[in-house]
Order: sequence, then C-alpha cells, then structure tokens
Amino acid sequence: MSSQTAIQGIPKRRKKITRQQIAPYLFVSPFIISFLVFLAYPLVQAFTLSFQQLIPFSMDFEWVGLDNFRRVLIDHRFFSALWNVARYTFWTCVILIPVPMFIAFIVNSKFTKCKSLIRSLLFIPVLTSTIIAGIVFQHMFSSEPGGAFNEFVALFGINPVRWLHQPGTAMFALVFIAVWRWTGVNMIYFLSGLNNVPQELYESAEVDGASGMQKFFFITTPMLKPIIIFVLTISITAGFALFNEPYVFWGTTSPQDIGTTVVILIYRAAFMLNDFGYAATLGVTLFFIVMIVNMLQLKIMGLFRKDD
Amino acid sequence: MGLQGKRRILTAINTTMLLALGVLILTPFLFMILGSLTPPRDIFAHGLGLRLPENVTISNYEALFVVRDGIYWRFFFNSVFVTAVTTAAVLVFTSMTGYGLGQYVFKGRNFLIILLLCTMMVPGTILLLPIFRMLMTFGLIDTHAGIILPAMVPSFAIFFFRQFCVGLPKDFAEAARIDGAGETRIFTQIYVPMMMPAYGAMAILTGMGVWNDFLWPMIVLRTTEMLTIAPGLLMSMSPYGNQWDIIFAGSVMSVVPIVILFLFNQRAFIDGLTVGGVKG
Amino acid sequence: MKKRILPLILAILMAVTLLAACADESTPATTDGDTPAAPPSDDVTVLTMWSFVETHLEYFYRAADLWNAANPDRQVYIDGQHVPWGQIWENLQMALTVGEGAPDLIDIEIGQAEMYLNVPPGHVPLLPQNDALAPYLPYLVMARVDPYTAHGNIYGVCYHIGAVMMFYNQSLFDEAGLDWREIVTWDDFIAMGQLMKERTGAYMVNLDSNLFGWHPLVAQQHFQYVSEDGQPRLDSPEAIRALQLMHDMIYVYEIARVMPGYELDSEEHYAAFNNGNHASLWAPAWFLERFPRVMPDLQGNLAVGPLPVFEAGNNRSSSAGGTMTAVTNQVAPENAELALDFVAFAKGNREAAMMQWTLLGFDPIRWDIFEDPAMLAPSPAVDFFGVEFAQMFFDLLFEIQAETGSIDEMRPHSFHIREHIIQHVMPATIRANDMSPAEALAEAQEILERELD
Repeated sequence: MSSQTAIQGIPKRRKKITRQQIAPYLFVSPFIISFLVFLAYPLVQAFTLSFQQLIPFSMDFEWVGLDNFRRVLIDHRFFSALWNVARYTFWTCVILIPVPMFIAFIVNSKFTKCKSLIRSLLFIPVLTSTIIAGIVFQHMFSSEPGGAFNEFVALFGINPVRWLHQPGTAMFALVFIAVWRWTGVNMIYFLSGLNNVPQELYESAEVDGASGMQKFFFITTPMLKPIIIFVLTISITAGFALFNEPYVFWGTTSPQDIGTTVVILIYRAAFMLNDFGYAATLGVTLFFIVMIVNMLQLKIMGLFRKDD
Repeated sequence: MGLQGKRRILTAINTTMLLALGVLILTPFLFMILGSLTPPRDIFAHGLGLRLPENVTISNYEALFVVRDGIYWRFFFNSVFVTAVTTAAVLVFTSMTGYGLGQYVFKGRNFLIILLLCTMMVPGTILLLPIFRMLMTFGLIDTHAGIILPAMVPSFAIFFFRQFCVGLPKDFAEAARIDGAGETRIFTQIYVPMMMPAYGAMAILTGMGVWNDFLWPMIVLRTTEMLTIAPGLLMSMSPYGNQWDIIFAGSVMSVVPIVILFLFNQRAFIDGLTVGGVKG
Repeated sequence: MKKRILPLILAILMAVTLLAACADESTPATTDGDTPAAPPSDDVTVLTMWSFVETHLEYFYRAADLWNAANPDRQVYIDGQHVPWGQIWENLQMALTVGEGAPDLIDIEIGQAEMYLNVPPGHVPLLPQNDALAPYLPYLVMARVDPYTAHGNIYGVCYHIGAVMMFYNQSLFDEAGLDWREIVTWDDFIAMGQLMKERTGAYMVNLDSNLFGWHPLVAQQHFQYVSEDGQPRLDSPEAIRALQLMHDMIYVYEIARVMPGYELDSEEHYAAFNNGNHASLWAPAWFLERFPRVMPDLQGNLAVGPLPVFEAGNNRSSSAGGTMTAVTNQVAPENAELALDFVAFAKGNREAAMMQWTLLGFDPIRWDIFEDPAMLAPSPAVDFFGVEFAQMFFDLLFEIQAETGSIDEMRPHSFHIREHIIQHVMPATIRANDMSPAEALAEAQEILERELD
C-alpha cells in the first residue's frame, strides 16, 4: 500500500516539476525560432552565397570558389568604404561616449533642475528617421552661402564651404548627424547606469573633500563600465553598418568615395548590379571585421576577465 | 557668499547650460519647418538656412494631398499599420522571452544569453540577401508581412526585458505556484503588470525604430502604393520625380505623431528605460 | 478568463499578420490617373508597361490610339505604371531574375541597358525587335539604334536622338553686342566668352561635372574611351584634350563655372540657369523639355547652334542620354508578336515619331520629319520657345544628323569605368582644381587596369 501512495505521489510531483521545467523553454521559444529562421539559417546562406555567382537572369548559381573574395581584395572602393566606416566608428565612439556620459552626470547631479524636460529635449532628435534628418541636413550643409552651416562659418569670416563634396567636411557632416541623433539616447543609457551607483559613494567622497570632477573620474566612470561596454558594442556594430545618411547625401556614387560605406557597396552590388554573390561576400567580410573589432574591444575593456 | 548661494549658482549654471543645449539640439526641426514653408526652388537656390522664406507658402502642405492623388497619406497609413503590428508583436514575444531568461533557472539558459549577446553584434545588413531570398520563396516580397515577420523578435528588446526581469522579486512566483497557479498565469497576472514601465519604454523605442526604418522596407516593398514614409519620401527625390514640394512638409508630418506620442509618454518612457537599465 | 489572454493576443497577432499578407496580395496595382478610360474588352490585347517618366506613358497611350486606328483587327490597350527611378531598376532586375512579375513593355534608360544587354548570348531577358523594326529602319537615325543592339539583335529604340547642341541666352548676347553665329571652334568660343564676361559680367557657360559635359567633347573627336573588349583608354590624347578644355574654361580663362548641383539634371542647376546669368549651355536636345517646367523665365529667349569643334573633321554634335522601350521575355507568347509590332510602330511610325517633339519636346529619331511643317505647328515646345527657335532647331538637326555619333555605353565594364570617372576624375579636375586632367586620367587608367585585370 505504501508503495502505491509513493507511486501516486511521484507522478504528481513529477508532473509539477515538468511543467515548471518546460515553461521557460516555451517562454524563450520565440527567440529560438527567430534565431534559427532569421539568423542562423540566413547566416549559413550568406556564407554559401559568397562562394557563388548568379548566372544572369536566372535563379541558378554557379560555384566560383574564392573568386568573390579575390575581387574584394582588388576592389579599391571596398577599401575606401572600410576606411570611411572605420573613421566614422572611431569618431562616433570617441565623441558619443564621454560627452553623453558627462551630460548624464550633470543631469543626475542634485544641483540640476528641470531634469525630465532636459532629458526629453535631448532625446527628441532620435525620434526622427535618419532619412528625414539626412534630407534636412543635406540642405543645411548646402554649398551655397545661404545654407545654415555656411551662415554659421560666415560669422567667423570663412568663405562658403562645399561641405558634402570634400573628404574632411563630409566626414564631419556624417559624424555631426550621429552626434546630434544619439547624444540623447546614450545619455539615457548612462543615466540608467548612474541610478545603480550607490549614493553613499558620492557622500563619502564629499566628506573626503572630492571635487565634482574628481567624483566624475574616480567614481562615476568606473561604475559605468558595463554601460560603456554596451554602448561601445552597439556603436561599433552600427558604425560599420552605416548606410542611411550617406545614401541620402550621395546615393551610391559619392565624389572620391567620400560617402561610400560597405553597406552601400553591398546594396549596389545586390540590388543595382544583380551581383548577389559579390554582395554576400562583402557582407561576410564585414561580419568578420566587426566581430574582430568587437572581440578586441571586449578584451581590452576586460569583459572576459574572470573576476568580474 | 555662503554655501547656499554657491549651490544656487551651480544649479543655475547647470540648468541653463543643459536647457540651452536642449534648445540648440532642436534647431534642425526649426529648419525643417522653415523648409516646409519655402518653395522648393528657393531652397535649391540658396540652401536651407536661418532666415524667413521670402515667399512663405503652405502649398507644400497642400501638395501632400495633391501629388499623385495624395500618395503621401498611403505612405503614412502604411507606416502606421506596420508600426502598430510590429510593435505589438515585439512587445509580446520579447517580453515573454526576456521573462523566461530572467526569471527561470534552466538548462541552457546561459548559453542562450551568450547567444543573444552574440546576435546583437551581427550587423543585420549581411543577412539582407538571404532573408530577401527566403521571403521571395514564400512570396512575401512586396507585402507588409515581409517587413513585419523578420522584425518581430529583436535581440535588443529581449536583452532589455531580461535585464528588467532579473531585477524583479521571485517570491511572488513561488507563492503563486504554491496556490496552484499555472506558469502562464503567473506571467500574465503577476509579472506583466510589474513590467509595465519596461513595456512603455520598449513600445516607444521599437515603434520609433519601425516608423523610421528605411533600408529593409525599401528592398522588400516594390509597389509605390505599399511603401512606408521613409522610403516613400526618398523615392520622391528621384531625378524624374519632381515631387520636391512634398518632402519637407511630409517630413514635418511624419515627425509630428511620434513626437506627440513621446511627449505624452515621456515620463513613463524614460523612467522605464532608466529603471530597466543595462547591467553588464 | 484572463488566463487565456496571452494565447489570445498571439492568435490575434497571427491573424492580423496573415490578413496583412493576404490584403497585400489582393491589392491591385493602381495605375495612374491619366490612363485612357476605355475599358479593355475581349478582343483588345492588354499590354502592361513600366516607365520612370510619366509623359513616356502618355506617349504610349497616344501611340496605342494611332495603332488601333490603323489596325482594327489587332487592338492594344496599354496598362501603364509609373515607377520611380531607382525602384524601377531594382524591381525589373528582380522580376527578370525570378522569371515573373515583369511587365510586357519596359522603358530602359541607356545607362542601365548594359545590365540587360551585356550578358552572354541567350541570357538577354528581352525580345529582339529586328523583324518588327525592319520597315522603319531606313528612316531612323541609326546612331540611336546602335546603342541598344547586342549580339546582332536590336532590343529597342530611343525616344529621341539626344543631339548635343549649344543653347544660347540671346538677350545676353544682344546686351554684349556679340553674335554666337561666329563661333566655329572652341577657341572662338573661349574668345567670345572672355568678351562676354568683360562686357556683361556673365559667365559664358555652366559645366556639367557628371558626364554630359565631357562625353560630347570626346565623342566629337570620333573617340571611344572604352575599347571594344572593355579596356579603359582614359590616358589617350582625345580624352585628355576634352577634359583639359573644360578645366581651362574654368581655371585658366575663367569664362565658365561648375554647375551648382554639379550636374545637368539637378534642381540647383535649374535654379541657376533660370536666373539668366549664363550665356550658354551645351546639352542634349531633350534638355529642352525641362525649360517650360523648371526654367520658365527663359521663355522665348533661347537660340540654338552646333557644338564648336577642336579642329576640322570633328563632329558638330554627338548624342547623349536616352531610353529604349523593350519587350520583356515575360510577355505572353501569344501576345509577343503584337507587342513587338506595336513597340516598333510606337517609335518608328511617322505620325507617332512626330509626338516625340509635339508631345514630349524631344528631338525625334526619324530624320524624314525634321523638315515637316507640322513640327512648327503649335505644341507645348513651340509655344514656349517660339516658331523661330523651332525652325532653327530643326534646320540644325537636319544639318548635323550625320554627326551624332556617341560614346558607346554598352561596352563591357562601361558602367564601372563611367562610375569611376564620375567619382574620381571629375571631382578632382572640374569641381576642384586638385589635379591636372592628364594626371587624373592617367591615375584612373592605372586603377581601372588593375581592377579589371
């Protein structure tokens, strides 16, 4: 008899355990399905395509071995593009981490009023699409003396600048839009991190007579490291995948390749030249570059350190 | 000067500087509005600068209703539809997943989290072609489903919800289980209400992203009547388009709804974002 | 009750998504408002057509009326759709690659045509028009047929010659007391340009820094900068001479300016030329179509002459730009012959070709109508430019019809080479004085040789 109760008890308990065990898998199933369908499978496909070439006006592909990769190596536009996005990513990281962090620090300070208004104002630019921002900035960066930026430099007696037609100023324009758009968002990320910094740390520092700057460098910055890593990672990924703004400014052909990015070349190869294989190869190359840069960054920032 | 006075001055400096920055950052919107009131030919002749247009006109706004029988509003409502459906789907799927990863301990959880972080590093554009081919196979090119489906489970949103859920107490679930509540019920009745700030924040972030998305709709959507606002407006810039008059007015009209939506919810939104936070 | 909320939301979502997909498929492609109202009946063959220019569709609707009047037993109806530039090429490439979704008739711009014609024989996704065009060929300016010929087949015909001419702002010449008719060579042009600038302060010419400025000057020397097997020949004397001339006009003689907006078809250039501060412009004749629309202030004030030459024996014109109308291989087999006959008729028939001027304002491709009095009858172009101008224009066309040889844009690698010139050579030499034309062209030659191995 006692064995029977045991038997009755086991399935009951087992059933409950099972339900609780299965539940999380059901909950995460959307991610698993979407990962398999929209990430893993396409990724494999992208790699396969990079060894193939589309036969014109058919759905047939022929294997071409490493031909596409060889083409990447002699494509001067690819290297211009890579150089452009690398510089762009560098500048956006250099500006878009310290500046928003500092702003967040001030916003968070107890000596600041109208906090929520300020947060909202700074956040508004990111609500506009890059396309629309691009169109507006394109005309603000007009070469004519009446463009906003030329009006501004005229205040210092500088002659009208052909902003979008020279390498240096073109990069400036791209970085400027990025800073304009993303300062608010990155500030919000840092604000969220600041909420997790224990107030006691600041208070004890104040007791020790630390200045505002000292607090920023010796308490805030180290405490925000996880956020910095997060922002760096998404900035690198987004920077190397730059497309919208240069596409609005120059389409796929920019003077001296000042606005050519890797994704613009991918778009051009795939959807303008029907060169699917080469487009996929450019994509795979970009993938490896971004991965390597991110891994290096994470290693330097010490994410993989065991003691974290 | 006493400590009190010093503090007051510091407060004044901080606040004015930040407010000035906030106003400065809004100037492009001023230019956009000025542009929408200027005849396109004047913008091309002089660039877009800080001066009142010589010939103020509202004809650009009228053009929104006139150009190609008001095609702009087709773009607009396509955007509304796609944004609403995608955002709803994203909220449901990613909050589920985030909750699963944040509240349960199960075999493979850490693997999934690492996988999730890795997917965030993959530049989406390299998947453009294979996903495009896949959609082609299923006949989803030139359909709104073609832009909605691949966007339904973004890793970024999962990660956000996961971070949010990690911070929520587990005792409620235990108590409810003892009372015999099912897992679905625990989620929908106990945790979903607690996650409301996170939903608010993600709704705006996702909605904004979809509303402004460009490359993918441009590739997937093939018929002009199917286009959403961003690619639709850019198409009007084509050399033979000659629809410059709708561009600035159209831009203003596309920014307005999302700014209004944001201003109404900004408190909940920013609180949601900052509470959720991103913890390494 | 509430327990079911999640599955419910999911179910609704799925339904909405699916519905969206279905709704999308059932939405018919709406056509433009100006499609002829006549509903197609059973004995009328419907042909679908895409174009990136709305007036091209209008042209085809009217051509269909002409055709139907002449062929009561082979009626056609054109179901036209305007697809914006950019989108049209993406859609067409995809449709022709996948094997479905392409229209029966398609407008292909000359710069894009290479993508469809420069493929191995048997892969061209268009139908040859040789037989259908045969009756019209003796009357067509062949320079406008050759670009659309591949593997011995003609795949389409242009809407115009695109003869490059010199357009003069007459009132500026009157003001300066100069007569542009005295210009024969480029040296004359420069000399008069200096007088013009001295006397009126106006620049003699606005230079396109895309290819519409340079191409005609290369072509008029009977030179092709891409060899037949697709090798660049940019460091040749002809190519350098043409670019040097443009460069010197700006930076040595200072009689020219780079166009605002940098190219012929840019809103900035329209605005600048409309101001009347530029004495001349060399452009393909189809550019006339832009004046009534976007440069209205120049009404009645234009004169037209031949392109100056470097030396005797050079062509006094060339042709540039263009769009062919092709029949795709996705036309229903039973309609193929009708589609081919109709398209050939639409471009080659005498009355239809007249519409290239009377409706579109282009220089028509049939040389036998240049001297037809009907061309001087009221039409949008004649009303705007005046009868005197129209007379001058057609006399000139007649005179230079044998001199409209153009840069062959169909040769292998042409697209790539052109792109390189636009991106690298023009910005460094014309838009800015960073490099001498010889240097820039030699550098481009070297890079392209390496890339095209």
